[in-house]
Amino acid sequence: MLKNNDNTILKIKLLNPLLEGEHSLEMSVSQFLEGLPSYNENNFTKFHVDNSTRTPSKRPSVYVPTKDYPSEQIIVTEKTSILLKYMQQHWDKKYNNKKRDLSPQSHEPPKKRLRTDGSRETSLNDY
Amino acid sequence: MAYNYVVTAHKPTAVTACVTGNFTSPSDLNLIVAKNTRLEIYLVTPEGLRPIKEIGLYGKVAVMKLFRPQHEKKDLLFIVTMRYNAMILECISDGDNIDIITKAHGNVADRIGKPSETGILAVIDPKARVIGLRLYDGLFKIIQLDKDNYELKASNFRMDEQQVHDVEFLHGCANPTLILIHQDVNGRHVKTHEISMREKEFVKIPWRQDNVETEASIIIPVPSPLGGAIIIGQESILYHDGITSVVVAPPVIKQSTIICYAKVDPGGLRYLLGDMAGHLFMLFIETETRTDGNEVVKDLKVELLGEIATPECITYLDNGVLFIGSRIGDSQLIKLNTKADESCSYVSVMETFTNLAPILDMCVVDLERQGQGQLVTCSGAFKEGSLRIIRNGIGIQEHASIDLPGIKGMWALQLAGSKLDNTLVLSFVGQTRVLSLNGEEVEETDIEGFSSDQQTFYCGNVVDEQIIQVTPSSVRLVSAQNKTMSAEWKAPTEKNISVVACNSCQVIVSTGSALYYLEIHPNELILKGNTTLDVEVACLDITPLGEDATRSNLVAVGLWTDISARILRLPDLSEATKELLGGEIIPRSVLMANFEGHNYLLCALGDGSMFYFSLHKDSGALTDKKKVTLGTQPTVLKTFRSLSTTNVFACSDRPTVIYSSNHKLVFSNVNMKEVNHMCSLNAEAYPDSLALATDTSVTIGTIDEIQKLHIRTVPLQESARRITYQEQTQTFGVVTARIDIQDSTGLNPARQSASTMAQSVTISSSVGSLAVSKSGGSGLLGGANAPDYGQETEVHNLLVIDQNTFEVLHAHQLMQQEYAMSLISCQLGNDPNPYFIVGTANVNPEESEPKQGRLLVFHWSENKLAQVSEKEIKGACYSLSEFNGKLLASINSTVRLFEWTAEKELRLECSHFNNIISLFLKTKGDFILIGDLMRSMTLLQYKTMEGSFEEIARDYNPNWMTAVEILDDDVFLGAENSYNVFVCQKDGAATTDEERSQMHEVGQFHVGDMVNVFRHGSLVMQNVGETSTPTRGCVLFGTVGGAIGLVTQITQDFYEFLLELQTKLATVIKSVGKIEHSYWRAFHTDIKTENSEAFIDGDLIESFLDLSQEKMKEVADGVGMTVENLVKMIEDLTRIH
Repeated sequence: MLKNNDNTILKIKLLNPLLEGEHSLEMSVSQFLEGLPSYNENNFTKFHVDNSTRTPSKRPSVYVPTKDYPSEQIIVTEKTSILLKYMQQHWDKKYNNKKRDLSPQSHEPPKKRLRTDGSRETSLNDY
Repeated sequence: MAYNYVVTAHKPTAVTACVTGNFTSPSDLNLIVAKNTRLEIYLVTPEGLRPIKEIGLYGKVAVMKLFRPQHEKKDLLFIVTMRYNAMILECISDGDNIDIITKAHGNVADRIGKPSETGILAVIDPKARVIGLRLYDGLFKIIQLDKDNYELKASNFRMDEQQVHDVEFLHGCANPTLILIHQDVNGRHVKTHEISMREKEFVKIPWRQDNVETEASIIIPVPSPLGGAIIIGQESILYHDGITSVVVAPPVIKQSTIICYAKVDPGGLRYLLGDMAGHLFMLFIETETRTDGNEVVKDLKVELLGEIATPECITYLDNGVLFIGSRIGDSQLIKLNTKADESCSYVSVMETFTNLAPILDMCVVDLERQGQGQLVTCSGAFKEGSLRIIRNGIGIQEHASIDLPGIKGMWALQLAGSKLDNTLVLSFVGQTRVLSLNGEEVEETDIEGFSSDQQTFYCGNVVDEQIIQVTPSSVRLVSAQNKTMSAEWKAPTEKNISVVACNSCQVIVSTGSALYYLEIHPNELILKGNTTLDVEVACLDITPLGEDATRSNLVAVGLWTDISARILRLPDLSEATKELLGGEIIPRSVLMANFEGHNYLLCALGDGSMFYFSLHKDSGALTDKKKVTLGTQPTVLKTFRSLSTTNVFACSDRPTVIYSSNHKLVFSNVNMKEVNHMCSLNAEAYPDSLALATDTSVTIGTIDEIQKLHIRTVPLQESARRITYQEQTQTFGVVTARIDIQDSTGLNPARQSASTMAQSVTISSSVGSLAVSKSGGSGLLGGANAPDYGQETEVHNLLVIDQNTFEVLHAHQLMQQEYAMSLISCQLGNDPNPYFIVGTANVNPEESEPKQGRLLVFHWSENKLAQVSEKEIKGACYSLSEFNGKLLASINSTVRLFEWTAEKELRLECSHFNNIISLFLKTKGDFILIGDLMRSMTLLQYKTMEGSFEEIARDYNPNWMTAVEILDDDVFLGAENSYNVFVCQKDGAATTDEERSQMHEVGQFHVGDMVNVFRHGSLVMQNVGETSTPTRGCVLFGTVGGAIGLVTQITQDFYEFLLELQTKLATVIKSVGKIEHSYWRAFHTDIKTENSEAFIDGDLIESFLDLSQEKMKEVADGVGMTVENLVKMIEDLTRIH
């Protein structure tokens, strides 16, 4: 679409020595403004200056939709507070790490917890 | 209960965002402009911007972005409103028709969270994978754009950085990566965050740059292959991509602060920057290729291109053309030129878009005293400051103009068998000239059979391809084909013809009091009747009544001496009716007209007033006499047809179009200064046009179908803050603030503006020589504190402006650091002089609130402004009001009443203390309504006997007020800073003191824009015609977004009916973005949301008129009315604004 973008870069590269030199301000600004993007070279070519005075307050017509298009998608905001989410994530992590830390040591854990946790630990490790 | 109808008379015009892209189709280049709650879609064409559609949203746009999902051919629009409604919109077009589809929508608000002080920020990943939202401090919300899920999940990410000034997505990253500027105690820093969607966290920081410039505020992400970002600061510009870092500090950007940018090349080497002072810069990235073949940034260059309107947003359109969106001035279409003009500017303005925003203050005046108000607003700010004169009327679009002074009459003719008008006959004193219209060319010609050395009284095409010319000496019949005279009739008494009227086959001629009736036949004029009246004839009419009628059996006559209008029968000229008009003003023009099947006789007098009657076609009887004032000069009535309906043009110093709607006559102003004569013209080059003659020229133009607001701009180039009108001196008083800059020669105005270019200037004495900053006085700032070069200072002035020319007659400059806060024009006590009174505050940055101020009383007479009195006060005078010949002032938290003594001094009479800051005052009789900063509204009564105030009632809700108004003795209107309005009612009849002391909020409504000012008044003609809509009173309001609206009271029955209609319309008209109408109009603040009550949304009601016939029927059936009646009723409602 952009016709001469690559050319622009090239041209300006070539001109760089000039820009750095002691050249007038006007020169460099003019060069800045050369090769501005053109998507359709006809756009604004038939613009008349008096257009503005003739129709100073042209406003587009108002769109009044009466047809119902069902939404393809809805944006749903997560309701969980980030604090809870954070705690959950970190508890999971911690819990995971703890298990790893604990299992090799496993000196004198209370009997009850050892049993229950042990059973779950295997399942987690399987993950 | 108080029921209200609120409607927008002029939609908001402040541009808050603009984007360019392919929205309506893959090949269309569109500009989309957001103006508060409205989007305007334009198409870029060879002729310029073509308006496509305007879309209303039920929300105020906070952010608007275009983006292109991968594999899509056109762009989608993402919008977040101020109330956190997010939506993704797609446009589908089918020929000229477009439809906007809400592809996704939802509310992204959190129940808790501190809304960020830097506002809502929304960014879209360049690959359109995610949308990022910064709504609350410490949180960042990510919406994953997944095509396949019905639910788009918006999840919160914790963000360690609390104060984020800007955020963007970087280009060319494998995972979406944010870059942000944040602030902590050490300064501002740039940081990047890579997003992991799986872990809903920021996973790593690819790079960071601590301690960038302390005022760095804008990030420009640079597209691939370069990548990285540009950080714009107050004085420096930084490029950084994690490895390379380039900083420049171009001196040109230091003067002001850059507030917006636009990318020029898709590759991202050039950017346009706009600053607060309205400078447009080009930023250029210079690159070099390194040995490894990668291109890296070598240098940044910034050049000033020229001056533009103070921008809010900029977007590059095509071929060097930009759109500059402005919030505080007129938006512009700008062309970049490669060559500088004589003032070294590379920009030229192609088009400007009128913007009233922000409306700081306004006044309603009826300068011509015709019952139609016009509004004068203080609009814009800084260099965009202006007065805008807004009046309702019909516009004439001027297509051609010919300089020809002294025209006494004008007619269009069809010569030589043409079906279109090709000749214009112009009559002057002692001569007649003929212009032939050849395409757009006009050349002088002559018609052989015409008498050209006399004034023409009438001329026109008549039956049998003939034309007629009536001059003082004779009636001439001329062939339209060969232009030779075929018959001539002269009055038998040798007296000159004085008045004439003619239709296509009948002529009525008068010589003084004698009347002759002629009929037109082929090559023949036949006298069919004559009579002599008792007094002289002043005007005549013989217009045939009824559709397709060619003959009239009645003649209307206006007479001298007895000031009467008479109807005579044809052909015998016997009197059918005689109606004495009364008074001493002679009828100047009389006209029989048929509007919508009803016959009327219109009779305009020499003083610009007009009588109108119902005319009975058979009996000639005149009934239902009514009178209106159209202008102040003799009026000439002419009929013309437009859209196949009859209209009457009243030519005078206030041209008016008279037409009928719903069987009522409507009088509509025309936006021309004066029109002496007019005729319809339907020529080849000028179809369906009018030719209008003024004192100096003839204008050919077309007329608007409907009346609308016309806006005239008086640029002041400094901020206008308050305005008041002084009828006695025919002037406006305007308080303005301009910016002066401290330099080595003292304080100097930053630019020439209204106060520096006034015809005369005075200064408040204590500033002495210093204030004449132009002459370079320094001094006052010396002493203790050394002058701070470059420091900007507000300098306040009272301007006296001529009501007709809007020239600044005088500027009075206040002291240093003295701000003018309020202004009124009034008379005080028994003193007959009108005064301008200014309330001021001495603003000292170290004080939490002003401790000192002044009340200044000025008298304007004989082009001189004299300060009559000065009163020191202990605070800022926020508001002033004339109160029973005394001066009422709100000063900080107090309300104080001052008497005007015989010595012309202000003396304090009594005070009231029970507010935080009393910002606004309105009075009615003995009652005073106070609007407080945060304590809503309070009603006081002045006890004449005791000379004291008594607090009558108060609204105990915590509302932060922006404007107040008294609707009637018991009902009060308030506007607060969350864009709501509400109505409070006092209950004087309540049984207990406690109940009586409470004002109850009986109505509430979300306007969606901040109301800055309420004024009683109307923009349409009052007291003319009949109105069927049961509305009472009219309060106009002006908003920060540049909208003008009005609130009027309605009866309960009408309210209930309109509410039903509104509910029905809210279901028939679908909301773009799927925001419920009831949600949008609910009274909403940070602390509560309550349903709208006792207000009807006139904007929704009036959109009924834009519905298709089928949908109209659906709505009308829903409320049990016929479509026709409903249309009439709503059209009547539209006519109140």
